[in-house]
Amino acid sequence: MSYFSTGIGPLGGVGGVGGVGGVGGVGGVGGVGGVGGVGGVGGVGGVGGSVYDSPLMSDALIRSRDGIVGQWRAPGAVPGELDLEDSDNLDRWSPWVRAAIIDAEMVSRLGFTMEDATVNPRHMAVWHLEVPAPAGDDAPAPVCKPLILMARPTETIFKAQLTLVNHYAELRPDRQTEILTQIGGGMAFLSSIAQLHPDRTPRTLELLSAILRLALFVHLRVKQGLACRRPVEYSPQIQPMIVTPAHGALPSGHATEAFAAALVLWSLMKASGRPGYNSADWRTQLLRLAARIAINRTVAGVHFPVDSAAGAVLGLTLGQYFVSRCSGADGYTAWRFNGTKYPQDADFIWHDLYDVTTETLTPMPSATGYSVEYAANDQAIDSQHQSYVLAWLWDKAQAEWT
Amino acid sequence: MAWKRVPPKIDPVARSVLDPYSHWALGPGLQDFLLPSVREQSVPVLLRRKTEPWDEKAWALWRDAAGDADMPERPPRSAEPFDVRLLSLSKTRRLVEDRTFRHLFEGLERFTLGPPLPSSSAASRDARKARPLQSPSPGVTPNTVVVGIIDDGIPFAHERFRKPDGTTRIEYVWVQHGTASNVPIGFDNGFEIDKGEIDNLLATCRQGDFIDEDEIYRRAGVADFTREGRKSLAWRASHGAHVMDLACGWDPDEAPDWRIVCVQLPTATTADSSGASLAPYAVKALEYIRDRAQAIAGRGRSLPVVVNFSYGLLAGPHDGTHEIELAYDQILRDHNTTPGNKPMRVVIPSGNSHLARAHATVAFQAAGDQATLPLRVLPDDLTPSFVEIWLPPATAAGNRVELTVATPQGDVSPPLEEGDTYILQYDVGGKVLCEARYHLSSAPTGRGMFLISLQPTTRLESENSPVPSDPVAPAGLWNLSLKNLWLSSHEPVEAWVQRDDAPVGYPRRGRQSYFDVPSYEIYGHDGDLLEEDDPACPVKREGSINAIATGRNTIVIGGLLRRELRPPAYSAGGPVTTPVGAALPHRCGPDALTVSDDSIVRAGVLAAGTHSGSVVAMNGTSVAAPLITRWIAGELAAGRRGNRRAVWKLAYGYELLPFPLPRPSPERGGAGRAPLPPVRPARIER
Repeated sequence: MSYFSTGIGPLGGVGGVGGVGGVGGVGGVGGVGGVGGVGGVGGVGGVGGSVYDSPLMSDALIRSRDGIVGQWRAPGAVPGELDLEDSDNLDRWSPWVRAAIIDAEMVSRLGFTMEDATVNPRHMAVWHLEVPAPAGDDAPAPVCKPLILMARPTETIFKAQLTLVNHYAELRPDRQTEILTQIGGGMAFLSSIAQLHPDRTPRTLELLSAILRLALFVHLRVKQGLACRRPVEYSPQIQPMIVTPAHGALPSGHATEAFAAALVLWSLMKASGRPGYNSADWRTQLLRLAARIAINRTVAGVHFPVDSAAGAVLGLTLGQYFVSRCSGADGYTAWRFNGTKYPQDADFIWHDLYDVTTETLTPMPSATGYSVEYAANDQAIDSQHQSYVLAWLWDKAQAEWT
Repeated sequence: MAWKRVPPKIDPVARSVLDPYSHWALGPGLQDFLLPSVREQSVPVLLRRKTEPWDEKAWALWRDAAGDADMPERPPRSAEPFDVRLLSLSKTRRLVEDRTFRHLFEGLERFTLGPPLPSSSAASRDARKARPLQSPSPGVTPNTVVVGIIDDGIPFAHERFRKPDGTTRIEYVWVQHGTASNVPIGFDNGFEIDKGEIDNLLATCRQGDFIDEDEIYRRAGVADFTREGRKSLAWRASHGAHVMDLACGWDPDEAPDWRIVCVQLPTATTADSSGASLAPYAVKALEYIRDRAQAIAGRGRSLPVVVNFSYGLLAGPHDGTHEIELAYDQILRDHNTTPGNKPMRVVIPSGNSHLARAHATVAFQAAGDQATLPLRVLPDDLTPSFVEIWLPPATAAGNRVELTVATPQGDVSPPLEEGDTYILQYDVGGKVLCEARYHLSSAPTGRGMFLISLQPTTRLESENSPVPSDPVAPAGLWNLSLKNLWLSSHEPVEAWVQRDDAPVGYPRRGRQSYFDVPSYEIYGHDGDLLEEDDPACPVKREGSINAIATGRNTIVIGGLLRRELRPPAYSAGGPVTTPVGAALPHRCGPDALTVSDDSIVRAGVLAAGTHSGSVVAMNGTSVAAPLITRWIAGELAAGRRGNRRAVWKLAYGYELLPFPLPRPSPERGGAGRAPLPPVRPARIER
């Protein structure tokens, strides 16, 4: 389940199969979601099958047809074929169906590898796969381009970071309501800055769900690779105020999702061209919010500050990659997070990592820095490989911000 | 297990001027006095000299005890009557116990220990090497006023304390604890943040145009989570933010030229009631504000100053002779009687303990009468508990009343007599669980008291041990019995339980003990809390006034419900004990009441949270006091006096209005109710 679920899951989700999101799967429980309320209402596609699926209604439909059907006659004119692989068709499908299509578009272009033991430290690498159009019926040969590489901090660093977790525990009574309402995600908090509502901004919510799911796939896969223990495993005195989730500590999923969603949201608003949205004010406030959500997890006792730093770098990298893929940009910036270089007693300070004026991650000196650009040049995306599915969603969402 | 009578260890000369809590703090209560897990600790020692100037021998002893090579060899001629030095624990003990210092004590009126600081908070010699005082901002006008704030959680980046140009109105902040770099000139601990630094932080801690206040506090070292200690400014609300907004917060476009000087008390390290006194810190805080106000005024000039100190204690002499009261009165008197000086005022809350059951009065009818005060000591109290039983002034030495203490298990002590030099100790397995001693406070208090000290009733751990090994006292009823020998019915004995509570927003470690007398009625027939006393019950609501709010020169303010126009049930008042040698007390309670709550159901008043743009409700006499501070600042700016009498006149004026309820008694309400307009209106008036 995506922490930031908007309730538009690929399988299930709002008004999904059975309406209750019963089939589950990634984001399925998301149906329950909209923990923030937005989108949870079952508005999008909520009319789904459920009304017609009741025994009462189906019996009535049977009887009604029996009453009026008359003799079978072959139809006269029939509609023409739909175009193959046509973006216009996307409007025809249920949101949860589109979500699955979007997920396929995103995930099918990602690769995950772990460097072998000849490299120290070993990085979990996330690759963008550029898949060329096949010639004839030949199988296409994808090209791997780096997206982000992450290495975990040493045990010494985690141990030192424990002190910060202990210091942050002071704020638990002050942050309790935020922490509890953000367990399932912070969409309501995002929508307190930019107006998000299932009736007014359904496509934006779909777009945000998409980036949240992308973030989820990636951070969970990276967590599996980097296998970092949670604070509670290092000391009996952390005593988190919520249950420690059963997945790795670094990168923080809340940080990844919050920063990715924040970046995508302001990029979308800015792309709409509405005056004001291009000011640093909107993105500053969204980034502050993302940082607060991330820090709240440290207050709760389930994350180290370095987890938030890694999550922020990952989320912001994924966010700009996603925006590039959606908006037809010709490239994206690949990044490297080397946790072994994280200063062991350093707190998570988001504005040390990202420059809100230039809208770029701040590269640190590569000899000592833990957050550095992967290569001097952006990774190119050939425009002919742009995903028309993502572009369709982006354009529809953008139109909601005029 | 047994009660023992133990002979005193300390020289009688030292004993008479030593704050009686010090015996416990340096003795059976040492483990609670010291900071846990801090290797090097510095104990602040406050000396108050008798009126004569230092003689050379006493000064040499003090210089030797302090071990401070920076102290001049010759005694300073026009020195303050107070001196505070940070001493190591071993030096402090030597000073108290070694009779070679007797001559030093002979010249003292009081000797008070404060709770220790980590030695990293105490200035090294290098740190004290003269750094030039950052010059305050210029442009002082006849309307300029200095507002001083002594509190916890001072939000110095907050927009309510900024000018229209975005720079701050705060000239200086002294953080009394924390790594001793940038130690304020003339002071020995913590660090100073001046206006230049705040303005620089306001200019540089930004994303885009947005000021990042969290980043400011992080860089300034007051909310940096890589550091230890409480970070009040990382919270949504702090006591200091609320109080300071009420005292001197303005919309930047409307702000008058009120310059602000703040002191952050070392509350984080002193939150627990170990019995040590905050006096050394409080006295230096007021001296600091006075000195910085002088620096702002410039050489040969003076500015009016009003200081808000929203802080309180329960037990004390209650006659204006608590160490903080004496010091504040003297600083105010010296300042205000110096020709050319503009006035300086200090405002203090009357306290929130009207219903705390922490005060009892015993008036004996005849010799041989006995009275028992059952002290309810709660379980789960991680801090020591103290009771002060004050005797009326004696004209001659003699034993007029004696005290026995019975443990919850019924183990009764031998009597402790008035004038007794021996100490009663309840000893279990070599560990002292309870101690009672007689202490004659020298002039100007000039009265004796019994001090009963109890260990915490529970412990989690001990230094270097996960399992507690230090003594705990049994929870339950400790019966304090007084037997009258010579007191007349006009000579009441007054007892107060010491405050054992955490400051606002702090985790509670202590639990407030109280007098648990069956005849005390909490509720009236209507189910409402009773606020009036039953003359037959020894436990009194009256006289529960804040033990540092009975001074002569300070302005004392109680709470008021704006809608109901009566004091809230918690707002404490007098009467105040008549000082020795006086015919009448110098005050009967607070000077006036002002708003502490919008109404009985809308508790508290609105004022700033820690971050710009936030507003929270908080109540207590702590938030009433700064409303008067604000009013006084306006009076001083207009060239008026803004003194106690002016506050009375303000209240008298309001009392001429047709208020629905009669004026509260002078003990509870002083000159009357002054419902000043709100700083942050709770609703838009239509």
